[in-house]
Amino acid sequence: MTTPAEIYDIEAIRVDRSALSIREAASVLNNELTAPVVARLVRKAIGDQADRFPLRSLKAVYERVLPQIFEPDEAVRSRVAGLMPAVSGITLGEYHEFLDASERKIAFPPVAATLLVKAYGEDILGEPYAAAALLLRKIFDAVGDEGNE
Amino acid sequence: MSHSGVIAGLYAGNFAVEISTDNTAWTAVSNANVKIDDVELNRPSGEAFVGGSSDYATITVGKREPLEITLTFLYNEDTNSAANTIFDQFQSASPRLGVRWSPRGLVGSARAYGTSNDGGTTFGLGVITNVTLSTLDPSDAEPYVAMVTVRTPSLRRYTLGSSPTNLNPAP
Repeated sequence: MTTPAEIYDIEAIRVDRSALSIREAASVLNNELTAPVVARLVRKAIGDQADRFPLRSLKAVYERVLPQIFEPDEAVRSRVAGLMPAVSGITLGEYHEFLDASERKIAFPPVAATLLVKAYGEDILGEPYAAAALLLRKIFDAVGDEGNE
Repeated sequence: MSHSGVIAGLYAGNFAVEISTDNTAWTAVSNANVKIDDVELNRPSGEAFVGGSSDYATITVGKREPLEITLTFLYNEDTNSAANTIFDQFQSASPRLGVRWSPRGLVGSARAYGTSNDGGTTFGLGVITNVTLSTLDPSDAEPYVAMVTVRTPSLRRYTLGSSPTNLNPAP
């Protein structure tokens, strides 16, 4: 029988940002984030690293882990910096659809995945969700450049 | 520092030790830990002599050698005792153990050390290279002990918080 650890170091937990890929983002984030869904996500991101922590540490663990799944770190930022979007295949209609979905507060609309695939190729769906916002911004920055030409 | 007087020496009998099997949950084992052997940090060096009039060698220094930490524990058969944890961990498919200790014990802002796999940036689990159940000798009146040796690539040196109750780093 495992007893809860009296000494635990939440700061030492390593978070695998690839636990939530762009491919999975729509199915996870556009539905209600129930406790089992969040638990599965956290478990996928940190494995058994917190298994011995006492139950009272749940809030602190989640508060450390979840932002790291959703927000990019330096590794993600530098990877995104090295990617150049190809915007020639994106239509104005798709752009408008994306803006509309954003306004309706849809966490990750299907058209966002369409834009990313058109700009970066099918493999982009395997990248961490934490990179999605940066990748989309790069597309719109590039569109802005094109509009000025 | 000065050329005169004597600086305060440290009596290290109040040292604190924690072990971990997963690098996030730590178990205080100070009350079962009898001794930590010499922990030696070494680097290899090389040398070459050259011709000509030079009367001395040129010396180069190599990379940090792995180091070994040997802990001696009071033998105990309780489920969560240090001796049991270590034996179970040695038998497991992943025989790794994290060790961290503070020579001054749980004292505010005391220096502490822990096993690390990244040159000292974060804690890491070392590998258990030896577990020794000491000699059974009826003529020996000393408490029965068990030893474990952990081999790690590097040490993390860090500072405890202002009022530490464990060996977590200062926030």
